[in-house]
Amino acid sequence: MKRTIGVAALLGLLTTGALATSAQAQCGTGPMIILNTASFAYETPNPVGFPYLSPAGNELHVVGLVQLFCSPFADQDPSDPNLEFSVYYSGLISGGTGINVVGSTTIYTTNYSTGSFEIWKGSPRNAYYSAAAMPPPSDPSIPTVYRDGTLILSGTLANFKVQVTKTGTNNPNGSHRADATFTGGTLYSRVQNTGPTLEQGNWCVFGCLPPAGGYSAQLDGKFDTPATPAHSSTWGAIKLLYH
Amino acid sequence: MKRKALLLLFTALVAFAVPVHAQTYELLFAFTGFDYQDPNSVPGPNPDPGYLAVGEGYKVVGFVTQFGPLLTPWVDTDTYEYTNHIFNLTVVNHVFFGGFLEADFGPHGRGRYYRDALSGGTPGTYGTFPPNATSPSTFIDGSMRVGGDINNFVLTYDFNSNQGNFNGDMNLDEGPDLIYIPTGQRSGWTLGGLAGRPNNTIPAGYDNQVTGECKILSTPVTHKTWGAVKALYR
Repeated sequence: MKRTIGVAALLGLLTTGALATSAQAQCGTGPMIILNTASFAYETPNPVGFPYLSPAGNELHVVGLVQLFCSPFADQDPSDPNLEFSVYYSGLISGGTGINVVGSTTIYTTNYSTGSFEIWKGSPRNAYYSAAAMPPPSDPSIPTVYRDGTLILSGTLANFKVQVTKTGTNNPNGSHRADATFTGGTLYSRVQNTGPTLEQGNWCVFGCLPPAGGYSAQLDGKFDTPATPAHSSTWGAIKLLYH
Repeated sequence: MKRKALLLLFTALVAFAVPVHAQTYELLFAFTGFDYQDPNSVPGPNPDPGYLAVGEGYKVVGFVTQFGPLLTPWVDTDTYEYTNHIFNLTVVNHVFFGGFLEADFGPHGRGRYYRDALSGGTPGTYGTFPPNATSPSTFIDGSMRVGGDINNFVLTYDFNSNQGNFNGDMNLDEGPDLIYIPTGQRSGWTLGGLAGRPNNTIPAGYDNQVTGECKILSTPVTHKTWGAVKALYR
């Protein structure tokens, strides 16, 4: 029986390996899910001021695409033209933007309340793949086309922070950072019982926004591979696992 | 007289016309990786004065994760690994106050991306405490495809919130894949990215995890009436 389970486990691992996309060579160390740069943020109900002045009480939304899955999701292939992997963040309530100046840099910092994220797998492709193609957030297709198909992963985003800086005559540029925790979705079992992981990336606010208007940032980013928390146990309990 | 004015107007419009491609944000490539200081003459990672002190160098190694429309037709991730390298950046100004760092860099840094065969090539391997036996060497092997001159590079980092970003201007000027980029689009590329820590995935000796993009930003377009345009030439 043990041998059967062992062979089955080995076959499972080999199968997963065989299904891994060649793009995984681009994963490197750390990232588990890498976002496509055709990912955009908008807030409701009030507009975000330039370069990044978020009114307190606004809700931040992100609609975007997955560019690359790494282990343990390497069998999911975003380059498959018949599939679409999309993301949606919501429920992130702005605490307002604080401004500080250091040297020739002005810093715009915005903290958001805990919100949620969703990663969907759908077919055929119906989302938007460039800034130029994005309709305004008021379009009925936003965020609908990013939330169709099968919900493969979902979770919470805590400590979500956006920081935009403008130094001298350089264009403003920014970043975002959050603690992501997986809580559901059809592929949740692959990351079940893992701890929070880092979600972070660039947060472009100038020269990269959809011409349709209404968006506050273009982003890239990634979810890192979460740490597996250690559990205290007894030798007896460990022995039981092998009986 | 009218014909002369119209001819003059037409000539002026052609002369000052901004190419369509320069009006739209466009990605060249996006990357993820890790950064480190080299030379690291003032030991870090203390933010001040140890991190990016004046005279220290800044380098990034990583993997290209996405290509934009200009390069996508010429990329084959089934056959090749694509890596990137940013180097030759030296800190000339270091301002630290209240946990916030602004580091300004001298001119002529360089950014490149490389292509190496998956079969028979050497996978990019970070190792620890770069430069080491595998980094940057395994990120700059194979063939260099496109490179550019980086200027006005600035890195800002908030040690209170553990996040930051960098940007600079990159003018593409080398590599065989340069032929896929129209001459008029080889200047004005912007590097943007961020550095994040604490982060368990950062190998020992590296400072931050980095995601970034090499992209050309859109040129804001203003709408004017014909009357306003004509008035410019009266």
